Amino acid sequence: MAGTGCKIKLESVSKSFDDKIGRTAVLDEISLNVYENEFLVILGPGQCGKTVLLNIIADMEQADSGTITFDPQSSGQTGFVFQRYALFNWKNVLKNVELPLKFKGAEKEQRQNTAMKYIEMVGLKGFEKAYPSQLSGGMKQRVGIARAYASGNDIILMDEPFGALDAQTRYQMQDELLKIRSKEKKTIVFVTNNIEEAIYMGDRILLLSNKPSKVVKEYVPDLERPRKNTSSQFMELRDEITANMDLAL
Amino acid sequence: MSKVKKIDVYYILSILSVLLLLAVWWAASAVNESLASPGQTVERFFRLIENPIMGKPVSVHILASMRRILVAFFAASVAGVGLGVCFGIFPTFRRMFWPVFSILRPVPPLAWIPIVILWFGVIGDTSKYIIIFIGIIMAIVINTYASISETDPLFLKAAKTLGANRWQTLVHVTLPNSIPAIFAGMKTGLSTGWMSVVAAEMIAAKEGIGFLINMSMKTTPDTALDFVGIVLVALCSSLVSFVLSVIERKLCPWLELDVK
Amino acid sequence: MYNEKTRSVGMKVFLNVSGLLMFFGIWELVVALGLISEKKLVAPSAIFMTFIDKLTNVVPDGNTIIVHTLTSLELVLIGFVLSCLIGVPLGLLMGFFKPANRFFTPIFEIIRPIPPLAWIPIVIVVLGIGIQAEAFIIFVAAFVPCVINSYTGIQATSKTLLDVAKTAGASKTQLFFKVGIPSALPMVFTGIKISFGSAWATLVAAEMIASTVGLGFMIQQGRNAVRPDIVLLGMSVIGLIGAALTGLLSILEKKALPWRNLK
Repeated sequence: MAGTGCKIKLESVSKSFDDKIGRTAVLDEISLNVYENEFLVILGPGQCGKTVLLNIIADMEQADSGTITFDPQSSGQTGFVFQRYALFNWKNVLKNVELPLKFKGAEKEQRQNTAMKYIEMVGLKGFEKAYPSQLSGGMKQRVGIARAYASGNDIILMDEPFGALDAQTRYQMQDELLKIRSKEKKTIVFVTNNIEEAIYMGDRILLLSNKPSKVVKEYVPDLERPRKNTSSQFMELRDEITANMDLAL
Repeated sequence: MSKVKKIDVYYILSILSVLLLLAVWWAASAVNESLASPGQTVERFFRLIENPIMGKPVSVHILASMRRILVAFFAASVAGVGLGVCFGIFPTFRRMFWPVFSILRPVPPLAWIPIVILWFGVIGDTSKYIIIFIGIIMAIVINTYASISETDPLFLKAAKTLGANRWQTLVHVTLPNSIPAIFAGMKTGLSTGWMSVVAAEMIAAKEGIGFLINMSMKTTPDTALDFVGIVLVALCSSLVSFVLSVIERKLCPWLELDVK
Repeated sequence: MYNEKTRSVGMKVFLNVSGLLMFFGIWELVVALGLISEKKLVAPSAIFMTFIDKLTNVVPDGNTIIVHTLTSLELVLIGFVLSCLIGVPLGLLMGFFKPANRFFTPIFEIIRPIPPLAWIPIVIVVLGIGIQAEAFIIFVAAFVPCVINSYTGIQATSKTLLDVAKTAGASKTQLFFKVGIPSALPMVFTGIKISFGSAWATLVAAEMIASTVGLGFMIQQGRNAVRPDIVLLGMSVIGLIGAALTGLLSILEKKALPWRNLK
């Protein structure tokens, strides 16, 4: 990835929380770079603090120490895709997708055009008047992705976006997301606990350890797309990551 | 299909129960002579149309009660939602005034009647509006505040990542999310409100359904008139509640769809 | 979003107290400065003096405040307890057994929208003025929420739980007692609390309209005698007792449903 610009630079970011047991360190001196237009996967076991890391990048939580620097070209704003979709039940698909534009004060026509463009891009044309409760999980997450894209931010953070879907839909959505990404380049930071998903999707994979999380290792899958999870290289990489993944609770 | 038939059998029970209610009423009136029978009640209603009470036809009494509840309900809804929102989103406001609200809350709305009458007099509608307003507003404030403060943090987080400021979050996220709870508060408020209408009109009014009910206690008891009043109040309150649910359904089309 | 984590404890307490201080301060001041006639409003301190006085003085309503309070309490407890004893089982039956549902729901739906006070003239004719008539009105007022909440609570019983019990061979009666009722209990308690509030509110009004003793009667007489101190004293006592008994019910609820408050 050398040669492309660095979008986000994290240096020694640490974070702990107070709870009943005492103080729990969640992130321990995490340093990483996110490069322009790459698909970065952050892979880690169960409760390792991946979400906290994303929250800190999205300015939803404050790090205890360390610095986060955005590329000066970038707004520093990020789009966010949630595991539980976080669609607003009281707004139909179109209204949900145009919401970030509305918040920016865009004109109605521009709002609708942009929203429709992304609704089409995620393959939901014809569903723009539907309410979230009428959609399946996979469709809801398509709306979630369209909404993040519509926000116009060049960095999109995805927090286990397919974690709530059944296996079949999950595979479908993985391909869908890769397709969307090929249509419009964005810098994507994708959090998951699923090793195969990480290898299938990622340009680069950062493996995190259990709490307090550190970056254990970086992998750059040298596999041709579309990747096949039955290819021997795929399986080798999977075994290697599995061996390094900290499964202790 | 057999299930459908079974339900039909149960509906006979429903009809039976209503018939039984009427039979009990009728039997009670046969035993106690001063208690009006269903027939006498119907008859009394028609007599009420021909012989107005206080020179006012029954429609004036109905409209008086309806006007009081609707005006007070409208005012209480606006003020109640406003107050609930303020409690929900301004921590300083909540810290300062929630204790004050909390000490006023346990005083039942009807216990305000004497003091409100002392302050605003018996004549005119001011006292009645205020009493009914107090009856309705409490439930609305509490429901609005509770549902705003319990908004799913995920929604707030989503709003923030989409670039919403405080005001936009309120208008597009927190408030619409609270609409069902606010309506629930309005419905609770309405039933207390009708209670207040009847109480206020029984104690201090020259017109209204509560006034009719109170007239039935004067001199020789006129229980038929009370039954007429009871039926009228029940009908009016059902009508208002029905209209409110229609509005709720129009306002929240997404609630109908919650199948998945 | 609107969290106040950054605020210090001292500031929180200060804000909490300042609202109340302001409320009572303005109240005292308005009266002290004579902005509002003493025939309309008296100061909080004067209410307390009236309280001391009313412990022994029977003017203008014929009884001391102790007698009024005890009468009201007795009445509300009779009506409230009766309504729980009848309303809760009825709501549970209606919610669990279809025939009971079909039979009682229409009657219940007819009675529900009638404000309890509207029954007063009829009840007086049948039972005469007195404790029975008032207890009956309070019973009606407290009855409705008891039924509705028990009904809703048991209807929401998890289908999975019922199926598990069924496959384990439970009879319909066992399902009702062992699965339906326990899972409805939280809602039942909510209903009981609402019932009490409704009973207490109705009591006050019933005493204002048809009684010769009780806190409601006392505040009504206070108004007739243009004694705002008596009215406000009555309101305060009514509010305090209402809050205390509701608090008691909440404590009972916590004791009865220990699994509810574990987070």
